[in-house]
Amino acid sequence: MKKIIIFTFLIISLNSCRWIGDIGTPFYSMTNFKVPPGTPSFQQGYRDGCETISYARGNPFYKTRYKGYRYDPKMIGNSEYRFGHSRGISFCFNIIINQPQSSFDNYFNYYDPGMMAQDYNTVGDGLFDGGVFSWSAFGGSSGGLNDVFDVYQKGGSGTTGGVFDSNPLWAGGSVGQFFGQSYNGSYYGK
Amino acid sequence: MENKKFISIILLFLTLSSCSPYWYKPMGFIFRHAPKDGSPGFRLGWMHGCESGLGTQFGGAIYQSFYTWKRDADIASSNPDYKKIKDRYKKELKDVNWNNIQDIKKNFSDYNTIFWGGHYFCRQSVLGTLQSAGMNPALPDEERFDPMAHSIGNVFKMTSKGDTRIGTGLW
Repeated sequence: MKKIIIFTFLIISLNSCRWIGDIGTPFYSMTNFKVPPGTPSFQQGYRDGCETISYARGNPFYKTRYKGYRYDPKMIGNSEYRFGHSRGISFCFNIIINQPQSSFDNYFNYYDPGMMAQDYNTVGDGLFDGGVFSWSAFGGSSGGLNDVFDVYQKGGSGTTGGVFDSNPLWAGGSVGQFFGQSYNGSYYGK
Repeated sequence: MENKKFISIILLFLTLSSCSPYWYKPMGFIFRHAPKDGSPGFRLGWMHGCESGLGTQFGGAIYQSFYTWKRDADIASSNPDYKKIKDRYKKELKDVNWNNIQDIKKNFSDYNTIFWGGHYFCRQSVLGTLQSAGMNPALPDEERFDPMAHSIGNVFKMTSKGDTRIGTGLW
């Protein structure tokens, strides 16, 4: 019993103080970043800034690869160091939030939180028909932006006919086309 | 009985030997990242910045109940009251030479400079950690605490941002 407790205690102690983690920095492929040319102070700042943000926002790969917050207090008055630090943070932030070292099937299951990169008719509630740009969001009917343009085709009463033969919003004539633009159309050679 | 004593001693040891002064707070370990060889003002500024960063809305209601805005308005003032500040941080700023105006100014300058460095690092760290558990910060029009979405049990959730396992390629 005592042996188990001592063993557990040792594991907890060693881990809580991160002695194991501080022994050395593990290496994972493709987790290095390139430091741009510049003065030594700039490069040191850039490296420290990039390590800082890679730890803060990176996934577990990066959290073990990099040790955490990096800033040399002695360089606080050095404008080049501070410039490099802020540039390192900015640049690496944009890399790291995309989690480049993720599961390797990342790109098979394409997901982009920015809706415009996907099919705007089918993502979520659809971009126009009940989605964020729906006409109902502005207090109109529930037909989405489609209704706004529908009047050009069908007229004010909805039956009399308008100036266009078809709804100009879907000028291409099929789902997935927006003002003639097509995701799957001939423009892409498909 | 003997085992109880033994366990109590171990727990006491672990408590006392904790490496962070904020060990009892969520993510208290992050304060161990404070650079150690800076001036007293530097260290205090970083700690205050980190506390303030963890207390932003990025941390959600739980973190906000443990941390809050901490920047010292007197140190940030353009005309600081030195005596007041000296009395307030007897322990933290004990190594400042209060008879040397240059040293005082240097420490205050360090405080104000690094405050945002600590703030940024800790804010990003808590956001990244919560996102990896699927707990995104509430948007301004959402409830600040949603028991379903912000369950403490989410720390065991592995299928969120940063998941590196095969077959979970949403991220």
